Amino acid sequence: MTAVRRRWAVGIPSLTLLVTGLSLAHVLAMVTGLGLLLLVPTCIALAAMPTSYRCVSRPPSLLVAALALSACCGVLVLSGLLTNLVAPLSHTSWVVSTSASSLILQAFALQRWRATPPVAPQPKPASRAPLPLAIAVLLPLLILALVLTKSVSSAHSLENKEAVISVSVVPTRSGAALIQVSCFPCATRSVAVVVSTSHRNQRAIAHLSTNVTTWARAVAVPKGSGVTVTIRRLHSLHALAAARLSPTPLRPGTLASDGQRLTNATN
Amino acid sequence: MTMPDPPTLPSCERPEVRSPTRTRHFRLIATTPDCSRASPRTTPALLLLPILQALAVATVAYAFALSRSLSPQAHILYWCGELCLVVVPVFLILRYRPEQWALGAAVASTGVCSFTIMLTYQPLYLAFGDEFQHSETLRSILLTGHLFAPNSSLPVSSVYPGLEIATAALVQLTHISTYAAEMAIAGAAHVTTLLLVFAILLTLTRNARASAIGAILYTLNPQYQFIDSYFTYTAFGLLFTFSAILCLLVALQSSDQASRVWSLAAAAFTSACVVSHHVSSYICIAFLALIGGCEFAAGRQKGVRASAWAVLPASLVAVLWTAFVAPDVVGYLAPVGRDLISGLLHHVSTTRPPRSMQGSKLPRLRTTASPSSPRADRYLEYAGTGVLLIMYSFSLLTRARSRHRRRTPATSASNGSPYPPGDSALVIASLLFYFLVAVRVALPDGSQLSSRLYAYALLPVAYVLVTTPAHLLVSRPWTDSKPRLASLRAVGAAALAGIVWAGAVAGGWPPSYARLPGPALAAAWERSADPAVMAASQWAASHLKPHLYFVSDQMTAGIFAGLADETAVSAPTARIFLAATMSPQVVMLLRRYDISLIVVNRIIAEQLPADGNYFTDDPFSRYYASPIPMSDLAKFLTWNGGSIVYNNSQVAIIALSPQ
Repeated sequence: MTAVRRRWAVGIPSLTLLVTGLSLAHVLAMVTGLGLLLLVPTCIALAAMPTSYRCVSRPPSLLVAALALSACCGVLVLSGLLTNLVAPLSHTSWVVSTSASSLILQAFALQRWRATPPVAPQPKPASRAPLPLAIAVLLPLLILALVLTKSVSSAHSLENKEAVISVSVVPTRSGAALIQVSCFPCATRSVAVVVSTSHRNQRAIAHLSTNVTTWARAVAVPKGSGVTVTIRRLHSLHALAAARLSPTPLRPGTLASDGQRLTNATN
Repeated sequence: MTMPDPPTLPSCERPEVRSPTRTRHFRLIATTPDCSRASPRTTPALLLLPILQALAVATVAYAFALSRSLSPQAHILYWCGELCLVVVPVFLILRYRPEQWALGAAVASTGVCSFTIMLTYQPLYLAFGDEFQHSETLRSILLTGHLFAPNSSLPVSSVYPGLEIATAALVQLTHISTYAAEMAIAGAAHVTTLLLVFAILLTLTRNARASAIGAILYTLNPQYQFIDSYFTYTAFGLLFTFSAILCLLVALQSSDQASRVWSLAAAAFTSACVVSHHVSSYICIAFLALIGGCEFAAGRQKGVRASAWAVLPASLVAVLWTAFVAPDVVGYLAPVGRDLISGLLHHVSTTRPPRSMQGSKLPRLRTTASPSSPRADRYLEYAGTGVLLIMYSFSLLTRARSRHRRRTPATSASNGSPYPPGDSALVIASLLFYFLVAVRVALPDGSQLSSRLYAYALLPVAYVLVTTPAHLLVSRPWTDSKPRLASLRAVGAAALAGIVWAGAVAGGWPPSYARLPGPALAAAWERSADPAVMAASQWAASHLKPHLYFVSDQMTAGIFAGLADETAVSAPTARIFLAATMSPQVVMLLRRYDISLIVVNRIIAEQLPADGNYFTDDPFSRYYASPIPMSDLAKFLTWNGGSIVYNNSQVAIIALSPQ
């Protein structure tokens, strides 16, 4: 048995065992997508094995990887389509289907390996100067990573220049409306203001509540009761400052500064 | 199943052992040793390529950053970076003789860098309108767990959910964000597609250097860098189409049993294509059938059988899919075909003069339609297309003469042809290029249609090109003793590639007004996806019930539908928005279409539409002389029939009162 055949003889069953074990563990643990992630190397191994085995010295690995990746996408699409016939697409169904696909492909790979006749290995090509190769791979990746990071910050700076301050009305079950002042893109840093509703916003809320099931019992504030503003949380000073400058604030709501109570003159 | 023999390297670098089943493939290239002394075997020279391309990407990204700051130098830097991305690999590959693995890496590097440029344009969120349409389908799948939920912005997207299925799998299995999964899937498909082009050409030509040049030629497709990189179903359509073609070409060269397996693999890839993209699946099946027809004409029974194993199951799947799952696709594609045919036959301008609108106050209009692109862009596009056309025609002529010379009894036999199986099909398919040029010239807006089809046509065109002119450039024996001439050839070829690429960028996507990122523009596709619209969409996604009917301008509607899962109504939009007041007719329209939300983007009252039209089916498309009057939008904000539930500096959402 040649060295290459010995390598495959150990490698394929080991890979199969590993993938099977991890897939089963994954199904039990329901954590992240190991089944999917293991499908990729399995397909690559499946596609690469006969070529690597027969033409030992130079497997066209990039091309095999391309075809294997395409095969993975195809397997996902078709298995998703079939899965959807019997069950909704969810984390669990994906775990089961990808693990099953992975196991089937491994069994197929093992069967193909057994059926492939041995071929003597060919001499390895001359060494490829590992240092320049490493530089040629790592340096561009480093440059691209830096470029992407800088692009993100550049795009963020444009966003920050144009930070969007939004004013919106959200009804609550207590009968008041929640007027939110939020900042985009820092959406998590928002100012939440609880305000009773005017007749105008009440109509909007009543209308929305007919459409939004979670807002079903939204509004019960009498008309013309004025607007009471209480700032509940203040996460972002610049959001508050910009909210005052909001070009067309909600009628008749007017936003107050921190802690103040305000009665809207329009009512 | 037997994998094909490894791609053949030129005789001076190949291992001595050759497969006995290999035929004398493609004598034009393979018989000429790729080992001229003028081209030293210096793989390390090509190792510079990824670094240089990464620097080109950095230049383009810097140009994008400058453009965001409205710096005038941005355009110069952008063009320098873009040209370096193509010119440098062409020069290095032609000047030196790298090994096959280095050439494959160079092709992969080109794909990665091309995708990275798209990513640096807008790295925070999706930018292109079509992406939001597919994002809507993806969100439906993630929300409901079921396929085929209606998609308001692109109805056929929901019945071709291949891309979204794979993305949903990635999201649900790995728990990464939707945007990250979309970019991961699109990026993988983009790079893999280019590698598959390389593999197809390698399978046919058995010459790695010519194949690498062919793959670079394929990237000169005007839509390659952006449209084909986007999260749209075309990405998977191209991926599966090229995978199916590769499998069938391998099947034609394999032994009988292996041939059947590869044919079935081709059928499986075509089936995945049928699930993913309509046009790609039709083109894929047509091309596989063309290969079968050419094999039949050549009298190669094995090739006919292999093609039949691939085409028949795939055709059955396509027919069943179209009949039972996606019957609407006929209505979706029919108008495009009708416009195309009538445009070609009668040369009808698709830019119609403005129609009158009853009961509306017309905005100020131009007397003639505005031009679709700047003059410089058009000239660059013509130059690029012209160079490609001349090179292609020259290649066809060279091939015809070469075929004529070689048509001897010895070589014209079925198994003694100097051309590999599939060669004739690719040459016939490449003639589509002339049709696309005709479409570009005949139709006023033919640029977009023709450049979309370039993604399919440039594969056979690249094949034809690398089998003749590139052959002359790569391995002509008379250059062996003339190193300077070899350098000049490489410089000349790189310059030609640069011209074609400049034309592709000028005539491709994004259009001139959105070529560089920056502050928001009205009706400007990528430039219309600005923070104000994104903020409104995100708010609506988290606070409003999905699938409410709404009206808005075209760009805002696309983003809003995609991100907020609301249903855009396009038919009455122009009439509603262009009305001066909330007249009874307008209110009646709102009631008739059951509109619940009006999304007002004030930018349409501040800027002219960069793309020519504000709305889908805009009656004044390309005739606007001034933005829509602000009073036309203010009518929504002051109307008693609705309430402003969301407002920011640019976008307001008005909820209509229940009827």
